[in-house]
Amino acid sequence: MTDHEALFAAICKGDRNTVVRLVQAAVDAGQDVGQLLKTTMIPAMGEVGERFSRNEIFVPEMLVAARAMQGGLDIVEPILADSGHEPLGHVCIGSVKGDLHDIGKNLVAMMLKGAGFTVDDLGVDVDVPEFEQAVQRGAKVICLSALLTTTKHEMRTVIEHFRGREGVSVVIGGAVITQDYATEIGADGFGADASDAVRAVKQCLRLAA
Amino acid sequence: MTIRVKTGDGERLLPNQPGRLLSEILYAHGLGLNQRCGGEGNCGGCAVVLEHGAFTVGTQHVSVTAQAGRQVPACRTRADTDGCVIALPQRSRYEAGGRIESDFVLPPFVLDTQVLRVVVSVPAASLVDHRSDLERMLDTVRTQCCCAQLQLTLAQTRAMARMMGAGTGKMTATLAATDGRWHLIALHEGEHAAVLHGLAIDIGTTTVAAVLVDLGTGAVVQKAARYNQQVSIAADVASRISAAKSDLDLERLRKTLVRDTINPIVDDLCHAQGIPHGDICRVSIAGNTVMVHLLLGLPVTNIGRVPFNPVLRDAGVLSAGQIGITVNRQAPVHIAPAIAGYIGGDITADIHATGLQSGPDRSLLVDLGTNCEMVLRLGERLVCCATPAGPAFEGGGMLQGCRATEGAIKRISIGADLQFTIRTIGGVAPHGICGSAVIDFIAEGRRCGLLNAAGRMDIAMLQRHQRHAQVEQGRRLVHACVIVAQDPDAQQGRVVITEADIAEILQAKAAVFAGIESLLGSCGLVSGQLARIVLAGGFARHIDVGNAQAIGLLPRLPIERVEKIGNAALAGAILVLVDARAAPAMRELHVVPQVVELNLLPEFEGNFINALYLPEPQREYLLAVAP
Repeated sequence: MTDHEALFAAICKGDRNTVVRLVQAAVDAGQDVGQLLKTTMIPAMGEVGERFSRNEIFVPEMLVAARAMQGGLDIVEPILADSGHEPLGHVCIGSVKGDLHDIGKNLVAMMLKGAGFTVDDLGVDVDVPEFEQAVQRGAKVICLSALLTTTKHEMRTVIEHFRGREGVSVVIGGAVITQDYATEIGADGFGADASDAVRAVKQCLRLAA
Repeated sequence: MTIRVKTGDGERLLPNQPGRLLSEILYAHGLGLNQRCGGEGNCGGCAVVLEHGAFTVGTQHVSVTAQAGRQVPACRTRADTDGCVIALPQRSRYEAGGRIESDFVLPPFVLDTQVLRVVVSVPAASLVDHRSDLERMLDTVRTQCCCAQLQLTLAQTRAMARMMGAGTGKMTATLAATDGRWHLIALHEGEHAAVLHGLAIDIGTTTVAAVLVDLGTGAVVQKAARYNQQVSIAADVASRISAAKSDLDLERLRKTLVRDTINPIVDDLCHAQGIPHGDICRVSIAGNTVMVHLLLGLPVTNIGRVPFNPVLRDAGVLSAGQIGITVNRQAPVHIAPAIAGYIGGDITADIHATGLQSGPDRSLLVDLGTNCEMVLRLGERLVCCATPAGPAFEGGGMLQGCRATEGAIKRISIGADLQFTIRTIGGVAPHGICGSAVIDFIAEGRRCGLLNAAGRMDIAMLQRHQRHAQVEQGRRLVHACVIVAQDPDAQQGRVVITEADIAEILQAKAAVFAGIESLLGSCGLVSGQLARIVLAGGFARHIDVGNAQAIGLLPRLPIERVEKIGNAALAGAILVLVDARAAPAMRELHVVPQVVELNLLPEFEGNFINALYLPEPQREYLLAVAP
């Protein structure tokens, strides 16, 4: 098994230690990390998302895999930033005002990074001005997360603020969010789960799924 | 207009009106449904199968024929035409009955109930004594007990006047003191010797448990419990907050709690003990912050979002008449004060009843349930947090999960050849699985190699032993292990555990484990340094601690350091009735704990992900299952 195959397998299996070791070794050997990302790491996360969509794995395995991927990204991202690497797109993500939950939101962020996007993670309890600033910094898609039925109404406020704005889409998701709700409040996209969120973002940016 | 509803035990024809939600029609006819999400349509708990007719689901019009039934959420569906037919699966119905356990451990206490019954002979009026009826009566009572500031209400004065006017000088006064102030609870003609009673209630999100206490002896004489009827509106705290949007909603929730849950319990207790409601002269309540707000008709919206601020933590002492509980109207009502918006007076009562502050240092109290609050005693400090594990432990989110009621499988062990030995609550035929059994299944499954670290099943092993099934769960097709096979002759339905169920439990148990680890970590401790873990709550009572440790729900401490104490909140509420030091102690204690917000601890997420998988089974527990 080549190192690249081993890296692919380690990401899918969620073996963070091996991912970190192999990625660091690649960097130390002077390999093109942009290529590594594009040909091995991103497809590995794509495979994880696919397996989840096929019910072959569930949320726990996805969380573990995403975290392993993050271990590799932590090494690769600074190098890519310096070299002017072109990401697939620029999005921002946050849990809406009043909501402190972030594990699901973080999983989506990891899946988006894993798919090749630059992700501006605004954290939790995020208000409209912070989303506005992220858009000023170049975010084209705003991903909103809410876990409570009490906080999801904030999504409407954010969507209202950006209504009609050229080149900005809003995608929503969260345990209590449904396609019906997304349609009702005029969201541009809805992600039923972390894997579906990536599809929804790509759709907004008219990228191949 | 009518609708035909097929249930497990027959068919019913119910009247329908156009535009009415199926969930409302069913509830109105005693067929309440699980509504964990508060009627938002996304928990799958109220699923019904449309079999025939024209319906509106959300905003979509749907036409159904017998060949192609369709599963929909009842809370989003309306029947559009006459003669529609639907099927109601058993698992969508929320159990209105069934046995609810309400066991607790009462610590030693000094009996001091601060209630009194005195028989007084009021001297007659005379020309030389210018005192009025009221003054003579009060003076006589005061000579018998130290209650200088005793006052009567106008209604009580009228009653007293009627008795004195009838020529009687002898009457029995029932008094209760709160914080040293005495109040007249009741006045009876002549000598009235009946025993005085107190009522202690634990208002849980799902179940309300209560006891009747003999205030002469301090003994618990009756127990009763019912499901919190608010569950039919919304199943958990978050959805209940969401359901309380307007004053009308708040009033509806309040009535559902007081009139439909608490007062029927009071009826049950009085009937069982053979006493009139008026003989209950003190009430003590413990409940989480949201439950107490809903009891008092206070808005809960802010508790649902940062910074989770309640209207009040300490409601002071109210009267039964003010709240609407059908005991003596003047009976003082004590409500255990809350610690924070999401760590309620039930936890204050837990802390007091377990003596956490005076017991061994480095003790951790965990109230294992939906909200999973925990309190660490570290020296003079109390540090607490809540780690919502969700309803998974009470069967929520699982295909055939159920609460701990009759017919729930509560224990599972796995023998050779993947033989399952099960025990059900009530010893009756199994219809579902409760949290403790799933923990057993996962622990045993890991030990015998049926489950891998990610909780996935060995399909080949299942198939070899004819235990494999594939079932639909939440629009997905998943693998499942058959625990109890279907037996039409015995009217036994199949009971399975699915891989999706296990994934839910993994997340729930990781939340608890990571909560403990993060709370301890924020205080510079690791779990091995704990002197003891005290598990409170009804769910904890049933679980096998060894199995809970084996799956990574609880840290691996020596078993003798883990105690189970049942419903400590109820025990704390009882102490308020029988020991006058309890209420002041809880008042002092509820402002002590520091609250840690787990979501803001950077290490919580990492701890959570680390805690997801199942630990390696320990050597000596490996089971051999024949290939």
